[in-house]
Amino acid sequence: MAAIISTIITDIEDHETYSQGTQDTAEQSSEPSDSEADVASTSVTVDYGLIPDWSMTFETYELLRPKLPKWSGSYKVIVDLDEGFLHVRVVPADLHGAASTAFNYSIESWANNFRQVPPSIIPPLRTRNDAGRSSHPSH
Amino acid sequence: MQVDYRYNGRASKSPDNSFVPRDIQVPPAKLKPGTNIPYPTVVIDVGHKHEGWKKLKRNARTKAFTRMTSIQILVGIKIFTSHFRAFWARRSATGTGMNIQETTPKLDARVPTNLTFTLPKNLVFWGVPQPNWPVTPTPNLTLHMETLRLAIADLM
Repeated sequence: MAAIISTIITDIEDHETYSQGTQDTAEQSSEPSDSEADVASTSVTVDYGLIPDWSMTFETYELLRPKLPKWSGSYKVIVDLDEGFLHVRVVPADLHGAASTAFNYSIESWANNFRQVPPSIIPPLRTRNDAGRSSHPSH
Repeated sequence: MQVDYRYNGRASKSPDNSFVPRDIQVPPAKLKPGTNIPYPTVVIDVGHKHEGWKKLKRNARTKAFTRMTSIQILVGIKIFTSHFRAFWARRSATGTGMNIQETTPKLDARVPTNLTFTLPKNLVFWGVPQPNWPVTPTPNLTLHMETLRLAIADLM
């Protein structure tokens, strides 16, 4: 498994370089249509984040997942298990983090009725995200 | 991973952000398999680059809103080079799949917007007995797209 993890990490670092080179073309390649009828229930497009040669059980994935990096340079590494296949992508960490947590204050303050919740009290609505970089793995 | 959610026997997704009520009850909420952690009621998913608008919606339907989870609301955000777009969807009444409730057009990140999404309180606090719902300043949760725009505009 160590060799596989090493290979995945190398691929992530390679992808980071690739991503920096293709960032400006991303908008052109995105789909302009938002029609619900256009959304197929299954994907037939090539997915470059998918690692197709290694199918695993969920239990194997659970063992593997903590060993993979969460960050690579200025990129966040997103890892999913997709029908038994590992799906690894990198996205710009600052922008991704800002977008994914943009509504945190609005949601939490609404749930708290605009009151400060003392640290000893669990707020009525709790956020769960891994946007923080405190868990940066050593790799 | 506490954040990840499993949506079928061999698939797990790492949501970008999620919210779970403190007083959520199981049932009706479901637990993530092998844990005593309930699925969140609200999930936020952000798409970049190769995760296009269609895929963002497809993932919502086929991953977040499967029968295995009890996620009620998904807010999808697609980031383009200098624009962004968002939708929010709720779990379909059939129990699986989704109904998109509101969608923005493609918005220029340099131009202020007054668009909002209104998320029903009964879905945000789904699984919490109504007497335990917290007092909130408005009956439902309003998300201002301007908040999102201000958070990302300088980083695009």
